Amino acid sequence: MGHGNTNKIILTSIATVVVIVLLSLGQYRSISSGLSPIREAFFVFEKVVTAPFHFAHNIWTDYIFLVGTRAENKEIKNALDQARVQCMVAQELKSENERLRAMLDFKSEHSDFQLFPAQLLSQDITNVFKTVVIDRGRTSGFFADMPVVSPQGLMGRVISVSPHTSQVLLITDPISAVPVIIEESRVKGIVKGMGANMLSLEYVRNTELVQVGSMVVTSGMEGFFPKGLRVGRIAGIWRDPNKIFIRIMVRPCVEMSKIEGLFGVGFHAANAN
Amino acid sequence: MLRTQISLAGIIFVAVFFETVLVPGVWSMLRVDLFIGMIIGVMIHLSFSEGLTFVLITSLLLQAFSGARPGLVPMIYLGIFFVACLLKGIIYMENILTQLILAGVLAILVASALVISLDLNPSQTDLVSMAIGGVLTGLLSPLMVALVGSLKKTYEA
Repeated sequence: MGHGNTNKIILTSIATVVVIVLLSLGQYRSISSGLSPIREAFFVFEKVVTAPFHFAHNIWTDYIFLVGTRAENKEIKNALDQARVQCMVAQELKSENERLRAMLDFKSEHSDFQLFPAQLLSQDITNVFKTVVIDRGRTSGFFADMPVVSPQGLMGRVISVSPHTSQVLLITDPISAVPVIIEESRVKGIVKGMGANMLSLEYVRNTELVQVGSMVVTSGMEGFFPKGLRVGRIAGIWRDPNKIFIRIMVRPCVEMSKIEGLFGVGFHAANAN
Repeated sequence: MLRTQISLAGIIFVAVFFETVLVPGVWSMLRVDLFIGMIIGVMIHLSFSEGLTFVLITSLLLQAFSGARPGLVPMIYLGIFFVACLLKGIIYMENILTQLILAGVLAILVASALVISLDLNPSQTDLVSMAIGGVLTGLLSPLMVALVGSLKKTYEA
């Protein structure tokens, strides 16, 4: 056997052993924390790369665009057009006002928990797993298993944290499971992710009364989430008399593809009832 | 060898930025895998040892950007590397069209395997995004192969 072949076999064996060891230790989520320095490096890289674009954008929006607007305004004499512009500005302000009001309402609704604002940094490299990386980490008060919410409802929980970034497992991820309760009927179940922007409510018995449109909220039991966070609305129910459980689809309150502002909730699993 | 590996790792950071920030910024469900093209590139232009070391190390780096079970991302990419190595003796990999088709097919196969193994029910939009992702992965792969080739030539010169 040649020297090259021996090298190939040794390298292949090492690679196989590494993969097997990682897969067998995969149940321990803490392993992924060991990769947080890579995300930290990416955080710095992302900031450096986007800095010139932000700078150019700021110059455009704060200077060039305003000069153009001023010159254009001088030319525009028609009062109707001015009114249209004002209307557009007012509508933008209105939508911004609504967004801020929703965030404020959310804060006052959950005043018993400290909320830590954050922004989206990047998404999962695969389109099967649903995790995101946010721009706040340990130094901003984020910790592992911290619930993450948006003003619309529950988004997920932190699974790995580094000084300046956190990896968040969204509730739509196939391995996510959240204990919930249907608000009206008080029926309990587990909401599981389905990859797409849809959830599956499981372990609800066929005899239970469940209606389409009912709100599903976190039950706060034995989990990482405080009680009463909005998860989604029941979008479809399929009953099979031969099965013990009903098949229930839940549409999440948060549109995961349109995440803007989000909050980490200062809630520790130890506080759960 | 070390210079090549460091340069390739640097390219990986740019690729991750493209895959996790730029592309999802356009369409959040779309993923374009530039790493498959790089694997084909290292398989063509570098030795087996260099290629395997690169794939193992960088796929571990990529694990940091996925919620997949630890070890799954390296397993997938090592699998792609070995498949590409096997095919190297059968088909002419230097051909751009071959690289394009191979990368696209591998990307779609990996996505399909994950969907089946995780027992997911993808919506029609999911399937469309996967198909478009596969096509774009295929289209960009010859560029990544050429990038690895030019890097190798630069260090050899």
